[in-house]
Amino acid sequence: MIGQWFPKIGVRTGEPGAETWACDPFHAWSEFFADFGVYDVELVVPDSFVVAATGVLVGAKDNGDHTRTLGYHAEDVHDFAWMADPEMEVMTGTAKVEGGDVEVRVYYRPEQEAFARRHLYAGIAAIEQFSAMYLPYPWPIMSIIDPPPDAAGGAGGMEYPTLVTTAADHAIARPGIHVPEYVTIHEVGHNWFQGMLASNEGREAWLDEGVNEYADAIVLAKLYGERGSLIDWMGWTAEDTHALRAAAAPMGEVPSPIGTVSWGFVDADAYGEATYLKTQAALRTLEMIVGRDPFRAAMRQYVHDFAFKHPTGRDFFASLQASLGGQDLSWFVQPAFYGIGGSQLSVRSAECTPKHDPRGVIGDGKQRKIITPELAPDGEAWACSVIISDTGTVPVPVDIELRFADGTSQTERWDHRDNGHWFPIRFERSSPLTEVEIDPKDEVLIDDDPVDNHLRLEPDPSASTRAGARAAFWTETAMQVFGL
Amino acid sequence: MSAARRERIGVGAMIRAGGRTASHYTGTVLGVFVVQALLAGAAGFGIAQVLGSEFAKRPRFDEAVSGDLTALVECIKHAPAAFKASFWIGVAAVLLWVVASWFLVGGVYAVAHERPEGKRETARCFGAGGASTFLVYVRLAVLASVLHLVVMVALVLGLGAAAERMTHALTLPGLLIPLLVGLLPAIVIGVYVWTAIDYARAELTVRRPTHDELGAFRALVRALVFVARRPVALGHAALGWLVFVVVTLGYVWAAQGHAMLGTGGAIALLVIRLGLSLVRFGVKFTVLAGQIELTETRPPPARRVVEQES
Repeated sequence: MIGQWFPKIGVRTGEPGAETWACDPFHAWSEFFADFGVYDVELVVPDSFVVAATGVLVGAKDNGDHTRTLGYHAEDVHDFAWMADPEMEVMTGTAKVEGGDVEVRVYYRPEQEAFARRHLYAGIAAIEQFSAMYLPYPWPIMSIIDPPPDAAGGAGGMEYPTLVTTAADHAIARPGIHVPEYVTIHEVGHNWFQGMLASNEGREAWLDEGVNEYADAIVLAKLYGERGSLIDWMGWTAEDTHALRAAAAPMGEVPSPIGTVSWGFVDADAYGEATYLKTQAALRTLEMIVGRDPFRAAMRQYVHDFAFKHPTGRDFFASLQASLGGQDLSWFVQPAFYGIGGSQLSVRSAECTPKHDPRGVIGDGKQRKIITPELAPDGEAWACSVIISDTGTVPVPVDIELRFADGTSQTERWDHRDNGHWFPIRFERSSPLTEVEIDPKDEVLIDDDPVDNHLRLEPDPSASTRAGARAAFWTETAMQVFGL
Repeated sequence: MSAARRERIGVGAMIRAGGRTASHYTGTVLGVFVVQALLAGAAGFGIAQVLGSEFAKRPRFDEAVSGDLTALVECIKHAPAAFKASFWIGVAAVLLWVVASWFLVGGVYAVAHERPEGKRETARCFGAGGASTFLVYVRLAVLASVLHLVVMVALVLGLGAAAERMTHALTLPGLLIPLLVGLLPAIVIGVYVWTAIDYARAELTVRRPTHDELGAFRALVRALVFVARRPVALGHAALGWLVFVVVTLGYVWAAQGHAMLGTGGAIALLVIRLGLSLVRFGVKFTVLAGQIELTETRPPPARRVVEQES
């Protein structure tokens, strides 16, 4: 696999009249930043090797010395990569997109054939879905290289125009565990968010990786269903974005904002969590705030406006803002993308008591009366009090659903962009409150502890009892192994 | 039964003898099993209390228990201390059972050896057998810790050697075969060590009344030699472990996709799990009783000759 090697065409960036060359050196956590061009490349390779490269094969000449000269032509690409292997086989399929068919090739070693079929399906689906969501795939070919497992650590999971490498082929990635498909979808997706919208990944990696992650989750959900988009295996399920949020470190522990240059992160973990996971979570949250359909239309417009250009973060948010009717997004963008932390929503307290007339010692002198519970019995109405808090740094307006014993529910909206970090809800109702849930659709993905967003007033030990019973069985199994 | 005939005892005879003992002393089998189930149940109850105190008001935990992996990870992140406490409750129960086993195994061996009749006599035999060998079993366990160390070293080295192939495995056989090959040295040494410890215990029970100079160290060395020389001992024990593993994996396989929710489901699950544990316990009891059958064929240790001054 030969990548990150060809002399790069530097990019002139900046306002007209004040342009400068952007030719940052390569950094391990990001790729080169390069300009678009037309590539005509000749490769001399042993004639027994299978070759995959950026662009389309336009000529092949046998040199008579057990080598061949292969000619490749690629237009409107900013990088050229290639692979040669004596043992690879090729599997092909066709993606149907507006404007023509795309030939999709998967290069694989014979022992990886079963995984190659999965990558081919995911690759075709990704091209069709990304084309439908944003902009039709403009090149006639897509090559997906499935490297041997012992090479995947170094060469797998990398994107180049019209050519990507995938990864995650492993025995435990059973059908239903969509991690190999996720890698393919992610890398193919980079042909939009990197291949066409060629942002400077060294300086704003999130524009490639994080925006792509956001789009990948949509594609995965369309292909495999929302609930089990990442894992749907033996009764266990996991949705992509929520699973990645759960697996990541708490946002408050990532000491660098999303909008940090690649070489400015404290370590690779911080780079990955901010660039991939927090960006995806922030965009999904923003989508919830402005509405799913308007946001997706705005994303589509951004891709149309900046295809084959070099958009920056400023371009991205300006484009979104314009498409969303000029609404101010800075209250969210600034802390979420250029600050640290996220939302920290929780149900701080909730209680509901029967309403009754005042009790206790009332009056003075001869007027003094002691009102006992018998004299002021509980009425049929309930007085309830709920306090919601947000100790985070990004004040996302949320819905709060209140559920009652009679099966009814009531939704409150808390918009705390201009006020405090806690919100009281007090009311009277004929039926007692049973549950309080903040963000019932679990869409505020920059809140990384959703467990305390949902509270029921009366404890229900059935789940913990089931967990305890399961633990008892496995404890007894261990007892039988290590004891009598 | 002559000594010559006894020495030809095979796995089949050991299993039959074990089965006879288990079916004759069903009260003993059930009694010890109930103790084990109660201890495991107490651990489960404790774990349920710990998790309940943290999550009884948090519906997200309901989803975690119902198979939502994301919810499970979120709950662990939300209250890691509750899960750590649950883990250590389980470990404590297992350790407590290991200590209790030093008494209970002595009782089981004594009953299998002496074959008492009647509930009262069986209970007396069980209690006396367990009490009389408890301390020497403790000494045996301390000595055997060195052998367990050898098993651990074999485990680490074996898995280390298999790690590369497992990391790049593409198929289940490609994953499981290196795993089994890596585990094999530890399994072989482990089964050998555990079998030898069992036979050392059995001999301590069978011979202590007549050979009170037989100590834990000597019994262990004799058992290591005996098990090495008599493959039937190893085969019999390995068969028991095989049945244990097959039954457990069979349950795991059959349980997939059956959530068994609600009160009816919970009761059915409890009955199935208890039944499975009882089957495995019965197998273990049968193996122990079979070991007594073979131990009785072993030549007794040489007695020390004490010259008495006239």
